[in-house]
Amino acid sequence: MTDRKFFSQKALAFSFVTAMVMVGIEVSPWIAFSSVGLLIWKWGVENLKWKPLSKKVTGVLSIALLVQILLQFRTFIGQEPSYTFLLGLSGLRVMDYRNERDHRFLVLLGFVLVSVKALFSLDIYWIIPSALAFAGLWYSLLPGALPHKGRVLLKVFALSVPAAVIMFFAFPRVVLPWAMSRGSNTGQIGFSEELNPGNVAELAGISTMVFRAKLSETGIKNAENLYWRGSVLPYSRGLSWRPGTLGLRAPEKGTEVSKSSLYEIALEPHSNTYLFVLDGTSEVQLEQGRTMSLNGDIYRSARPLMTTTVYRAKWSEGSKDTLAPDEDYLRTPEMRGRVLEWVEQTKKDAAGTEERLQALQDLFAKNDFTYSLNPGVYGGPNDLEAFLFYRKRGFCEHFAGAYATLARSLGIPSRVVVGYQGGRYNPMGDFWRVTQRDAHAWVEVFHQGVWQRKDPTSWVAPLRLVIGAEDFFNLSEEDQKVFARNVQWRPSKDSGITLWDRAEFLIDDLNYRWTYFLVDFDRSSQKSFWQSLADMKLQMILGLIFVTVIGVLLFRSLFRTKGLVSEERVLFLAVQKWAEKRNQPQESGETPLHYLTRLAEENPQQREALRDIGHFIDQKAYAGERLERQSQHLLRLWKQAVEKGS
Amino acid sequence: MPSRFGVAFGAMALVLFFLAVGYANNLIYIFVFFLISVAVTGILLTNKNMDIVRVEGIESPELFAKEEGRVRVDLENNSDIPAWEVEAVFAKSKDLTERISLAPKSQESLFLRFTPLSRGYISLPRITLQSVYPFGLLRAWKYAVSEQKILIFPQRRGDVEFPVDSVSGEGMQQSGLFRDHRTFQSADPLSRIDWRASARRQELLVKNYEEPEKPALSFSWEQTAYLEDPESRISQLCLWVDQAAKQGYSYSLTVGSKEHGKNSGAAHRQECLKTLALLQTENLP
Amino acid sequence: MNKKFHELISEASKVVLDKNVEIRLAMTCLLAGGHLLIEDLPGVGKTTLVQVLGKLTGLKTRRIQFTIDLLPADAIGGQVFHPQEQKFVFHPGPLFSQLVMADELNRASPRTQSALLQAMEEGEVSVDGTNWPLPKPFYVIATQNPHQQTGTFPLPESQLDRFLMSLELHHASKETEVRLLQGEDPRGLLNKIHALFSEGEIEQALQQVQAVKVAPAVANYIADILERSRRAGFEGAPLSTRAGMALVRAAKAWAFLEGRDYVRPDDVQQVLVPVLGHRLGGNHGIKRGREWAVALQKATAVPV
Repeated sequence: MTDRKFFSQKALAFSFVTAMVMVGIEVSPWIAFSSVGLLIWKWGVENLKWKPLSKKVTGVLSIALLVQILLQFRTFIGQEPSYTFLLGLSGLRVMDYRNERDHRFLVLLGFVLVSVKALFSLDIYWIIPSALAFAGLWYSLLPGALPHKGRVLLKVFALSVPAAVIMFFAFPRVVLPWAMSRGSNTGQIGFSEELNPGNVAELAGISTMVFRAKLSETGIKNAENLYWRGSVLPYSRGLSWRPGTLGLRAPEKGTEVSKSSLYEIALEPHSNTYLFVLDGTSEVQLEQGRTMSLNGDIYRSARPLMTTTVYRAKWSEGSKDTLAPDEDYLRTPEMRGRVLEWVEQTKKDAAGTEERLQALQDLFAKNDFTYSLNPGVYGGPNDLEAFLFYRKRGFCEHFAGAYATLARSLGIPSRVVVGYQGGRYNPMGDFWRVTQRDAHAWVEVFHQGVWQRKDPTSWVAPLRLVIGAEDFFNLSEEDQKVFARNVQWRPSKDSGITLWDRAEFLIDDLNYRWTYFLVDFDRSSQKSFWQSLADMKLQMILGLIFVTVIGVLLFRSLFRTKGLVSEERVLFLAVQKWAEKRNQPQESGETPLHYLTRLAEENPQQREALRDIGHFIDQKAYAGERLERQSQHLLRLWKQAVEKGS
Repeated sequence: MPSRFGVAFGAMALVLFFLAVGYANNLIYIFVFFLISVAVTGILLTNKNMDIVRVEGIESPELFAKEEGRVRVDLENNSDIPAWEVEAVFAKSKDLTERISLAPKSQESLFLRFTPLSRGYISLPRITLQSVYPFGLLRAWKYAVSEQKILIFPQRRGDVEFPVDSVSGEGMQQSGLFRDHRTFQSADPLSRIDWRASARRQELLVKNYEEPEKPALSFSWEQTAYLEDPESRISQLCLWVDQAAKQGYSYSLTVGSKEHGKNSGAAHRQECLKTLALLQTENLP
Repeated sequence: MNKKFHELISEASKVVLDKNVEIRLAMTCLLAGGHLLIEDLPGVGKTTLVQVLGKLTGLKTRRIQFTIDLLPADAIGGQVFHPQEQKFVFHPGPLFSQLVMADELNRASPRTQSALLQAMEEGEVSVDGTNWPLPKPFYVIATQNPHQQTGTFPLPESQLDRFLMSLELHHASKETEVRLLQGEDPRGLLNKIHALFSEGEIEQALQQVQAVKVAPAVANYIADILERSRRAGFEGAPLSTRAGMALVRAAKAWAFLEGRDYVRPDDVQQVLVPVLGHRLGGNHGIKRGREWAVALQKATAVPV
């Protein structure tokens, strides 16, 4: 058997490389780069006569790969090690590619790669390369000498769609509890439960999407009012804050808030347990037993959210946390220097809580603070002083951290809330898209029996809240500084939605719907699907029969390759079939013309048509006349003649 | 019957399926279901592809024992659609033929290598026709059993030289047919000069014969008496007959009571070889 | 052109009664430029048929009666000494004519047979080292007695191949026989007919026959026939490609007689038995061969 070349198998090479790249961008760079390196090497071997790796070397490398994985992850079980192994193996197998067997192995590996990609992302963008790779892998399995391979494959796919759809909808979904818990420990860069200075700022530089939310029922139209709670930080370290145990919230005792409405969030996987909710949420509905409601109006999932998750939450305007805080909510690190001076002074000047809060607001609003993504690093023993009285540059977390610490030292129980603020509204799909850029931190103080929201950022840079993080950060640093407090100012761009925006919205909407469909198609909706099926039993059965019949017809017609049978043969076969039904078969060794003549004698009603057909066959097949397009006409005439006769 | 690739494919699909179940990932569900249904469609195609192929006949050319010959399997596709990538193999053998495709309403042939072990009438081992079109997931097969026994000629083995006593004296020169004259060359034997013609033309003419004159050969069982084993004797005779036919001699064969008179041509050779193939050695001296 | 041939066929049928098909086939053979072999018992009208054809076509016709003692020179001719001129002069034998009727060919010795067949194949004869071309067109219509008759030398397989067609003339039907018995002697009628063709016209027709088209479908059909004859289980001798070419030639001539410039599978079937009969039969005789040819035709499907 002759050696095969990987890169001359175009369909295979294309789809396999696509699949590898798709997975490669999701795993550790070292393995991604070494796999790509192997691909390039293989290309060099086949086209530039580079020295190939022998099977022994690739075998040793596979073992080395396993060892490396063991060293890096300390286990073989789990997603990360398996993807790493999968990708490494793919590269090595490409290197080994030599014969039919390798080809098939690669095809199987390719299928696995393509499907593994779905674990990382459900985005619709990946459907296109995935589908291409999928088709290419099948294509490469078709025998090489087959003509019209693409058409054959298309037909096979067309025929497979109904069965796949039926299986998808009808297959009962079982959830295996043991399988779900296997998450990786390392999450994506994202929301973390610690508020270090610069932490949120770092996030805000990334435009990755965090979740999408459908708020149509709540009636909220303004980005300014959208505060997405992620976590609450109770421990103050001055400028930075730390998380603490919040405790499960006691079951709701009082009556429900009269007017509540539902909204929906589709959360991208983030390997953590946060369930982001809108400020004012009183209940989160996810799978039974999967949500935990914690004190401080925040919600967690019982398991890390490894896949896109859709959940519903109940929201009512003015719903506030009323749980009284304990002593811990007044604890601060020791105040020193000018901070201590300010605290002492304020304590003296303002006696009531209202006054003290006003003083705090004035501190932020009237001093020349700068709201910036690049505030620089704060550290040292008295970072609070450095921030408040010297550098005066900060991001939301600095303002929130400083505010809350000062509030505590003034005797007002307070805490920092981290999460997201605002989002971008998609008018096409009527949903909000929240990205890492919208990361935000704010403060809640306990006053008059409720936790009230205080957002120092709204005093320093109100524009950020009004126009949203995305537009705000797109401004130059100068503009940010100058216009931060100018709420009426708008960045000078074309008013209204541009065509580009429209397209972006549309694609995002599509993507949302797709993801939502995929994720939301769980057991409950399947149950309702079967329910509806039962309701429409009769119609469905009829429909199913219809689909089957169509399928069978398609199968029959699609594979009838008319092009391979000459026109005259088609005609003759039609006649032959008809005559055989009438018990007038062609005798063995009888010529077509003789047969037709005989039939014409025996069937006077079809005589004319038979004569015409005979003449056509004679002229076309034997005399070599080029009578194109006539056969269709004749076939029609023939059918008429048959109908007339019967 | 699934091929090894088919089994591997099934295993992979199962793994992916568990992946889908495990992570409750609907995209993988879609992917797996589509994968499976494409495979099933492929399998249906494989069966359909093999279904339309019919065996028209199995034929062997001359087969000699212990010599590799080629058995032809005639296939027919009587349907309106083509049949792709059909191959054939003998039972218990791994020697696959090349793959052929049959256009609609057409006939094609496959050639199988076959080495018979003994002479006489034998039946061919069962032939399996198979195809893995389109994806190689499933091997659809069909048996072709030839009901007719086929005749295997004896092995051609022994001395290529004809035995001395096979050349009979008569017809040394007469057997060739006179063709024309040519002028005498010094190397020509004098006996071949046509004196009468030469007298007419005043130059020496030599008779030219249509074929180089060849003596008629006669082979008989007794000529091989020096060989111990009857089978070797048969093989030797078989070789002589074959060689004589190849070289265009006319020859006769006498074995026991069977006698084939002097003759040449394909039919004569056939008859002689058949006699040798079916020879019962017990009653012979 | 073919109108004249139809006229010829109808004229000939008036003389040779009840042999329409055979006359037509013989004519086809002539148009295809091939030699014809007729096998049958004496007295069924073989000679008359040939004579009629010769007369109507205007070809120079000679008859050679083959016997066991006939020498090659008797047919070919030989050098004869002219005393006046003091030299040998070649006297052409009866073979030097356009239409040679070789009567009872299988009665002659193989040597004489061979000489004739050689001439048929090459269109020339060589005597004493000199080649003499035969006239054109040159046809041989040989007759032979059925195989089993004693005192015959059957033609070898390879020689049979040189005849394009073989015909069997059977005894006339009863009605025809009655007519023959009470009517005129056909030999008398023979004197009344005249040539329909002038010189060169036949050769012109031959060229037209060559120009008849053979479509791929038809060539395919012929190839199928050949292929089938080589399969196991078929009794007749396997057909050579030459046999296939003969079939094409004959089918072309038949199509020409039908007034067409292309061949139909139907034409092939018309000439199949005469063309293949003697080739398939081989040593088993033409009669068996014809049976096999019919079987072959039945077994081979005609492609559209």
